[in-house]
Amino acid sequence: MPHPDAYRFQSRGPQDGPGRYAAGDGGPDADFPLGRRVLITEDNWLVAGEWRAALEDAGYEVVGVAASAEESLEICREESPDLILMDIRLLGDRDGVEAARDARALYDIPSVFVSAHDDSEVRRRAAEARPLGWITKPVLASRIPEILLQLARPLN
Amino acid sequence: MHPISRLIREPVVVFAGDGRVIDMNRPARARFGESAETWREVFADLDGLQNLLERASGSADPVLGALRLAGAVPAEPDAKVEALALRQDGEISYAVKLRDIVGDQFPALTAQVRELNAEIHVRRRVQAELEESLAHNKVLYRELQHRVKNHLQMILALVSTAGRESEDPGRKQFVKMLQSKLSALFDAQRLMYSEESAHGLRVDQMLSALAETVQSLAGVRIAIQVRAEPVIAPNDLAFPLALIANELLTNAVKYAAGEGAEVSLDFVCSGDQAVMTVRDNGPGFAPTAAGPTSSGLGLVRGLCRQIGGHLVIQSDGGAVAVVSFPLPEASHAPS
Repeated sequence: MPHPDAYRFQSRGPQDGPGRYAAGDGGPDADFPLGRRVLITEDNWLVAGEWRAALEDAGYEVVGVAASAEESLEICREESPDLILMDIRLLGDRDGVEAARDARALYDIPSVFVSAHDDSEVRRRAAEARPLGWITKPVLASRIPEILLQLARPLN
Repeated sequence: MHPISRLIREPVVVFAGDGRVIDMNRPARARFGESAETWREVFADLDGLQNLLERASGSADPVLGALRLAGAVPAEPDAKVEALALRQDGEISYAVKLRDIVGDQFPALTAQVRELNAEIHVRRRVQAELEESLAHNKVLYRELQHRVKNHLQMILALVSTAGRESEDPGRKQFVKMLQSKLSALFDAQRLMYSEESAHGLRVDQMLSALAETVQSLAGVRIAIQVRAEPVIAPNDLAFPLALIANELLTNAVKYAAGEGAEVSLDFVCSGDQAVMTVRDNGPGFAPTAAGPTSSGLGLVRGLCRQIGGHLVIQSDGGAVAVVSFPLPEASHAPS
């Protein structure tokens, strides 16, 4: 089973995906300490659109939007994003906690949960996926990039 | 009953052939009650009783058996009994004696234990029902909170979509103002219905969250210092307070002086009075008085009245807004 590598994100610059970014778009890694390529897993279409717009405004590349755990894992396999913004309640039988756990275990891709769930029971269950953090809904989409920056700071 | 029966310490009941109780000794009366009239008040098992008496009628000696007593709790074993057929003037009756009854010597205690057992049984069932109902309510409550938060998220999404799709700077500004007010309310909602408390929220946590949102929406680097006491505000107070703080902070950020812009928010309590002060280092308040309006100071004044407080604005090296309002002392959080 792959183990987490704290420095893995630093090594993933634009050079890992040549031609992926428009010229001049490749800001310093310090602006994207958790990685720049993000998968959104959110079953609410309107909300997913919000996350996408906010991330793209901040210079992230959104590699896909998944509405179910299966879809999310498929995009993980095909695109290997740096990070998943993961809702907990999803379409289908499996929830975001399971998807995040599998994404960690199978592809070593970490998640940040963005969910209206924030009770201790769900958090306990979700700890297995070793999430990078929690964002509790409702949250202004435009704040997500700065919250990701906060999460990347070691003391947070 | 024959005086000899006084020698017998176990309960003895004499039944007529049709199951009527025709006599009891003292222990039996204590055990089954003075008013016991038929076998039903003594035994719970008619077949067993009939079988026993039938055997007794075919014998000159007492026969042994085991019978379920009336009112026995499920865990209680059947009572060991002895039955003797009595023949007199061609009539047949039956004396049934209970053997090895623990309560024999302490009939009142036995009765009480029996009653307690029955009560425990009922209480256990009630408790199980209550526990189930509580668990169900917890699930419902969580589900409800989840839905509310998701709906608020949808509202934010709808509002900001409207802003994004417009090129009009005025509309964008309007959307930002709406986002700011909604965020203030939603921050309060998020903190209020967290797991720790459903009746109020920590004012310091709320004000810090508000400051972060205002800072973020301002889109400029500006330091907002929040110094607030850890006080619990009841729900009725939290929402207007969130809006007031949001309005004053937004204003302060807007007018704070460019490069070295500084905004601070202080929240202190003494006795049952709370004072919130928002200060910036901008040019200070213009003396032009504004009428009641849905934005700006009109909103702050209106909401201050709602919470029984008042607003004082002054200029002192920048604008200073002071909101004082009553806060019940009981709501001070233990530090």
